[in-house]
Amino acid sequence: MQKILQYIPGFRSGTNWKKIIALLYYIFTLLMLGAGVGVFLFFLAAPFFVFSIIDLIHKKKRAAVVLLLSLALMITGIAITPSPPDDQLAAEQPASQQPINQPDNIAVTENNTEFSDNSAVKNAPEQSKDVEKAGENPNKQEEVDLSDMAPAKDEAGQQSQQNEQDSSKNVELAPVPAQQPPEKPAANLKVHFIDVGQGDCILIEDGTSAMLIDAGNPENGPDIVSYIKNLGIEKLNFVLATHPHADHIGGMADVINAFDVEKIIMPKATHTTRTFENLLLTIQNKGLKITAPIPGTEYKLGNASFTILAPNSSSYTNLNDYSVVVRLTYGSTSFLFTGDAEQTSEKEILAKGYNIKSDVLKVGHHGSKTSTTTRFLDAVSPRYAVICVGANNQYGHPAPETLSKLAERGIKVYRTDEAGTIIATSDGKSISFNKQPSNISMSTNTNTNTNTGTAVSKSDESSGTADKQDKSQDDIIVYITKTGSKYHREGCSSLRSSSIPISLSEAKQKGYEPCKICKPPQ
Amino acid sequence: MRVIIDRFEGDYAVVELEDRSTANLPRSLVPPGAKEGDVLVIEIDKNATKERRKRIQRLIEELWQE
Repeated sequence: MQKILQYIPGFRSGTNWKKIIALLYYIFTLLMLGAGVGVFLFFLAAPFFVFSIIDLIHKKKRAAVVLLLSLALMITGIAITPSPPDDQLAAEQPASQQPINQPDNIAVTENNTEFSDNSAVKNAPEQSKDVEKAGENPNKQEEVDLSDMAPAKDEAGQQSQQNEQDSSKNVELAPVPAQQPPEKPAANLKVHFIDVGQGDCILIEDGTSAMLIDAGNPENGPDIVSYIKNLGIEKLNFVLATHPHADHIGGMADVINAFDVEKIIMPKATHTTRTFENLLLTIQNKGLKITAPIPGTEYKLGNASFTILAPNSSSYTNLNDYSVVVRLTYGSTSFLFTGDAEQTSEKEILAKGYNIKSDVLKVGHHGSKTSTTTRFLDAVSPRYAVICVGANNQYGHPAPETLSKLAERGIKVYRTDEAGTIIATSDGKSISFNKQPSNISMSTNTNTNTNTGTAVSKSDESSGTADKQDKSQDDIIVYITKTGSKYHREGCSSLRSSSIPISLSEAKQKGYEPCKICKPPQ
Repeated sequence: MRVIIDRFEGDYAVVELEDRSTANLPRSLVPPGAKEGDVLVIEIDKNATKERRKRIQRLIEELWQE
């Protein structure tokens, strides 16, 4: 035992403080295993290398042997260090952290190379300098490297976690070779019709790729962001704004700020609202550009793909008709997303002769009677229809005419005002829903608000999550702020920075509490 | 106050207020010919208010005995 110890730096003299420092260093070295075997070897061999140089100067026995052995170990360590991240890069989809991570690793290896280059110099006078450096270095080097390595290690930890996640997914999904026909995708595609009240918001994801179509009203932004984040999604391959109405682009600026966004598709239509301007400024600030939809263009989204079918004209009188219409296919299943496209656009799509037959139809314009013309519906001939619509909206959505058209054809209808967020899952062959279809005969909308004499009434846009039982509370408007957790009376001093009107019942449902200063109704 | 017509839905024009929230404005309150994207000015007409007040005041003075 004594014999072995006399070769290990730190334990040779038997001095206690040296032992402690050495012990701490070797524990640190062991931890470096997490960053890779190469890094571990490098740090393990480093003290042997340094002290053997000192020994060599003092002309101790076997110093040269130890020097050569430790040098060989360090070089081996350096040689194998850069390769693991490369392998990971190749094996994984380029995940968002990698570009950040990679430079770190490079920096570490560069340091190492520098160090070994210096020490590899056999020139006698230079060497003595090196020895000096090396002599004062060990502690310093350890400090510097510790701070350098700590984040790298964390990232490595994250990476391995990610790898675990990915591999577990792969077990579930079984890796799909690129050549394999898309008829047999192994992963499941999920289409989330997110309940944003009176508006549209649809997330399509398969665990590795994601696309968002529309983002509800301005006040829905934070909820949409947290919904997507809760699915573990950090990157959106596509963000599609069907058209610039506030109930479709409202929360999109928040989404673009919160996620790594690859491609933004929007019709080149002009609107004058602040919501639209804010979205464009957000995109500009992020240094992104917008892709105009060109009908017939096909995009890949993981194992799924989608084709742009509209808009087919360059100008319309109604912004709804600018709606980007896409047909998404996954295996043998298909979805048609129509935004708010109305009869003008539907006619154009039919005239172009595109294949629009789809299993699931996102019913155009919240089910209003200006969309879903009979010819269009029959050409799509869906088995399922989803209507994104707010409970008790004042616009008469969905129209009884549309509902009876769907009922007559035996199409199962899912409504976000009744079911909340609806998730359709496709395994490539069949589609299942997480909610019950609507009972059309019961749900024919008789709720068209005829009471137009009530001057300006606040719109119901964000009522989605609410089952409105308490009608009286609905009529009371209170105000919330962007960040606060309280609701206020109009004019409360807390509302100076932002003031968002909201119905009392909704404010309470969302967990807001009455302000103690202005004492709003409870 | 300026509001912007975001869109028309059913019997309403949905207008965007200055804080980017939206409100329903019955179509009867929207000037004929207004389109999506048009900016509407909502303001107090002080002269008209004064005029109306005078007019009604005259009536009141004629009708009250005291």
